[in-house]
Amino acid sequence: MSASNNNTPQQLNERRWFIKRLGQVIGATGAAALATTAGVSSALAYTPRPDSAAKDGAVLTKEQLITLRDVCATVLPKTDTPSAADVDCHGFIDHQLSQCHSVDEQQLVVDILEAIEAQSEQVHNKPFSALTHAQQTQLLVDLEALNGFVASQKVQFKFLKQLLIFGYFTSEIGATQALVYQAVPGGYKGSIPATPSTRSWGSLNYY
Amino acid sequence: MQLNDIFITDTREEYDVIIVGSGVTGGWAAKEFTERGFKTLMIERGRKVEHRKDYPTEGKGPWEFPERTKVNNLLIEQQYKQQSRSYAFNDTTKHFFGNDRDLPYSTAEGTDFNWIRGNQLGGKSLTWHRQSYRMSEFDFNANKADGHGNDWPIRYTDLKPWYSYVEQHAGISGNRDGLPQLPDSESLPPFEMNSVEKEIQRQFAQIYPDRPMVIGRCAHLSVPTEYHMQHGRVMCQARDECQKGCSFGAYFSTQSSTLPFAAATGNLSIAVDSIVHSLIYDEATNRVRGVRVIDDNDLSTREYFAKVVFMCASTLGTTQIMLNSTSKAFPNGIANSSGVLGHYLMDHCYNAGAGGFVEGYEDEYTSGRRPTGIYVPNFQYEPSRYKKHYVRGYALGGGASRGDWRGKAHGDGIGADFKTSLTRLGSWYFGLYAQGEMLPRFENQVSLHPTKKDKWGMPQLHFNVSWSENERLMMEDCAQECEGMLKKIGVQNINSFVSTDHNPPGSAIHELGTARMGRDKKESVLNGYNQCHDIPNLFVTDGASYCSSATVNPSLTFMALTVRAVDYCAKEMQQRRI
Ligand SMILES: Cc1cc2nc3c(=O)[nH]c(=O)nc-3n(C[C@H](O)[C@H](O)[C@H](O)COP(=O)(O)OP(=O)(O)OC[C@H]3O[C@@H](n4cnc5c(N)ncnc54)[C@H](O)[C@@H]3O)c2cc1C
Repeated sequence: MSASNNNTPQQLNERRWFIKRLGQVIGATGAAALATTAGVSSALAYTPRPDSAAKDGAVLTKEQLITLRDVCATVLPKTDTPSAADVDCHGFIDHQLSQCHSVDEQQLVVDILEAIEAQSEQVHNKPFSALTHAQQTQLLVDLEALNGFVASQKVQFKFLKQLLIFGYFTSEIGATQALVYQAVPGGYKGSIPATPSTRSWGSLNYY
Repeated sequence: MQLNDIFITDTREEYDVIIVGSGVTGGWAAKEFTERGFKTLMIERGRKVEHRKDYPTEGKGPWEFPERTKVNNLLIEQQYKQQSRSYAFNDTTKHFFGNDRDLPYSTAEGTDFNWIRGNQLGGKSLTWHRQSYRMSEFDFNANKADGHGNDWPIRYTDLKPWYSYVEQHAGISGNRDGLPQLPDSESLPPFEMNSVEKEIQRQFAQIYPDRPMVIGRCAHLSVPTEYHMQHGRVMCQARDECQKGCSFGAYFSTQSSTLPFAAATGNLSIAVDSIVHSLIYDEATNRVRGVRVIDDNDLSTREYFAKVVFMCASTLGTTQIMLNSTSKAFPNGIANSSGVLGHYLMDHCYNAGAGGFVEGYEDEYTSGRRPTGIYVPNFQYEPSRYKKHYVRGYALGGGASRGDWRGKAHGDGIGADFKTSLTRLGSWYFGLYAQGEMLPRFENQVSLHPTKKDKWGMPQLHFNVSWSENERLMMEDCAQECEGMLKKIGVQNINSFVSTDHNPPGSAIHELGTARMGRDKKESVLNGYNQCHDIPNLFVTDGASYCSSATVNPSLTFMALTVRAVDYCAKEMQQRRI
């Protein structure tokens, strides 16, 4: 795969992530400073629950959690492995926002969830949760394509989506079933065969 | 021998040797003295950490941490503001980092300093990145050759046998590359390069004959020797989660490598939770007699006595204690008749680099997490090779790897196909990262704050350190060079960066130079054996003793300096000259 085209913001972000990873290879301290932590909040330690959307969370209301649950199930649906909602990514996101993110970042998520609801009402006259899976998917595809949404909302969504993906692949099911987890590799091999269906390692040195 | 038997608190015994600190250097000093039969007391400000038993996060998956290895931002704000700037700081390692609330420091207006610490038995030997390289004859000659800093009183040949000695014990993996600018270690087999790296190595060799690319050398048992295995250390499993502690004993730490040998002699005592406040100095004999200690828990004070004191509290820890040890003879810090104690503080400058995507190799992946990268040793290692507009040079670290969900998370996509694509391998990426030399400058100083104290009543350190124009120019040049090198070998979509304004000194965690060696006692604190010019029974063997930073990671050299100093000191003691 060639990556020689122009630099979209996503490519720049991906590249920034690679540079951070490079810093980790040589032990460069400043590299981690790319991930900012501003603002303060506190809540109790989090363990995944089957019913996170049943009541208000630490940051999100019950209604917002229901929207988020269905966003999770839409972005990373059930395939041969469970969906992001099945592993309680929505509960995790609420928890993580309360523990590790600023009030401003928490608000990004609240805003985009409300924008998704508003768009759902406007287009379908129904809450996001009442849409068919295909309609939910289309709505989020539209969000990323800026159909009915503006660029600043896409930025908000990308922030949420990253948290969602992080939550999924650091969950036990995500790391060990969707990916391949090697707790004790037993040594390093510089070259092993790979095909387009080879899954990447879920066991990482830094997350 | 049970480790528990050797921990002491109050004692009236006069030891042969006190060692302040239990990290990389303190562990070595303890091993060497105890094996020579000296009754030795190691003093550590932090808590006891026992090998295997006290690695609570080892082997745990990310899902076992409530914030999935990230750290609660309230905790960061209140206790880990500086420590959290380290790439290695996270929820799985934070118990091995210093606490910024308890250990505050200040910086001069308009300056900044990252002081990353590890205050426990084992010090930063538990959390280090284990990159291990010898300094070369060019490095020891650098100050003399271009006139920056004072001349090292030692040369490569003085240290060479001691490098071999520590390498065989510690276990350093690496290739024997035969380069004058990066002398070979007595190494264990190297880690393998992946195919992309091998190809780039081949291309660099053709295009840049002066810039050989080698595999990173690191303190890991790639293939342990019989000796290592007899002592309970086994092969590196390539987990690369070393900073949580390693029950395989596969990387060098005090716990895995030096402490067990010292403990086995029966000559070692350890006082933990004991903050050394100052040295006890006897003016009549011009000798140090021991140390004053504040108890970490109840703030009570006590004293320990010995014939000789080795300062191994890390460059800045040692400097703080020495500056805080004043007397009529030494009003500005012990053994500081030269006035240079606290000056010439150096780090390395890791503030430039470039990377980009490599086409092809889609049918290859890697297995295991290699605990090292690739390395291009400094190619501007003597004045004839310097660039015109600045002096000295930089090494390059880096490596090639395939992308995964962490990078792909930024892309567009919703639904099953997107989910599948996140689980699949991304393109290969290759990058280079600067490891630049920092010049020794008198202005770069750490001192005691005139009024601020920590909770134990120790004066806080106050930093006045900045990058000089030389480091800035070097980083700009490095970014351009890296970009050029990557272009030449066909790397795509290259991004280069300079972060000198973003990452202050201290960020490479290689503090050096504040009690430098030298031949002239008017301009240095230590002689060529790490012995204070002013006080013969006081030694400093950590990074404070450095005259120039060179470009290589320093800890292997700290080890060699320490064992050489112990050998010298032991002989002097036997001859009754100390
Ligand atoms: C994340 C990270 C990555 C690194 N990567 C590398 C690398 O790849 N290669 C490399 O060469 N180096 C690396 N380093 C640096 C390396 O860890 C240090 O150079 C090395 O540990 C210094 O050894 P030391 O004995 O001088 O100090 P330390 O290992 O820090 O030990 C000093 C000990 O003294 C104790 N102490 C301090 N003050 C007092 C006091 N007043 N009283 C009593 N005890 C005291 C401390 O608590 C500590 O335990 C890295 C460091 C970190 C944190």
